[in-house]
Amino acid sequence: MDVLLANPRGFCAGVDRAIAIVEQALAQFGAPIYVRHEVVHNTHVVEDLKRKGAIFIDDLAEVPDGAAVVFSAHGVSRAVRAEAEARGFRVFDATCPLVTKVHVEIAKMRDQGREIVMIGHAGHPEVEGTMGQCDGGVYLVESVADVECLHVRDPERLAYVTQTTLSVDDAAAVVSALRVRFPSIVGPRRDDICYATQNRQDAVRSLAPQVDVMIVVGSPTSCGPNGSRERSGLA
Amino acid sequence: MTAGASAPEILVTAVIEQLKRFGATNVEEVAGAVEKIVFPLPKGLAGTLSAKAPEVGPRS
Repeated sequence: MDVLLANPRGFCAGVDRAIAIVEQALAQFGAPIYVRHEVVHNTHVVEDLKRKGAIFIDDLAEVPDGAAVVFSAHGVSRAVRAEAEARGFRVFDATCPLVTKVHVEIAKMRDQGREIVMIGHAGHPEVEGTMGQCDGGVYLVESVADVECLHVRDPERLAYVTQTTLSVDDAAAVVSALRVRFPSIVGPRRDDICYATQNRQDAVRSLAPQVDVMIVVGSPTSCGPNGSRERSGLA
Repeated sequence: MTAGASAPEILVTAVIEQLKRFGATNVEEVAGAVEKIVFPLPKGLAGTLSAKAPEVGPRS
C-alpha cells in the first residue's frame, strides 16, 4: 500500500497566527486566558491549549471582569466586540486577516445602500461574525435551492460575499444561481474563499484520480475538510 | 491523504503510523502549490513567539 500526501495540506497562515496568539497571550500574561469559541476547529489543538491554561467559552458572560480574551480565527460580530469593550476586557483578536477583509467588504457594500447575500453555513461562527458586521440587511443562503426562494427588497441593489472556507465548486454554483436571478448583483473584488481553501481543494482534486481512498484529517465541525472530501469525488 | 487547514501535522503523522501497521510501505509527498504567506501577530503580542510557516512537506 502506497500513501500519497497532498500538498499543501494542514495549517494555513490564519490558523498558525490564531494558535500563536493564544500561546503568546499565555506566555505574556499567564493563565487563564479566555478564548471565545474554539480558536480553530480542531479538538487536538483545543485540548493542547486547555492544558496550557486557555479556557474556551461561547459567551462573554462567562468571562470574569478584567480578564484577557482572545477572539477566535473565525471572527466576531460588532455586538461581541462592543460587549468586550464595555466590560473592559483585554482583547487579543485572532480573527484571520482574510475574514477581516470580508468584514470590511460587507460594511462598504452596506454603506453603498446594498443588501447583502452571504453564502455560507448557518450557525458557523464565521458566518455569525460576518453577518454581524452590520445591523440587518444580510441574507444567508446555503445552497442553490435557497437562492430560488430568496426575497430581497431591491434586486438592483444587491451584493454577495462568501464564507472563506467553502467548497469552491458549491460556492460557484450558488453564485451562478444568484447572477441568473439577480443580474445586477455585485461581488467582492477578489474572491472571498481564501487561498488556503482553494489550494487544499485543488491538491485533493489533482490527487484523487491516482488513489483508491482519500483520507482527510480534520474535525467534523471544520468546513475545510468537508469541502476537500466532496471535491475528491471519492466520498 | 490530506489535512484541513485547522488540522495539525501531528495528526497526519499518527494516521500514517496506523497505516504502516496496516501494511503501508511507501509514503510519498506529492508536490503542490507553494504557500509562503505568514500573518504577523497583533501589536503588543509580538514577543518571543511568532506565527510560524505552515507545517507541510517539501514542495518542488
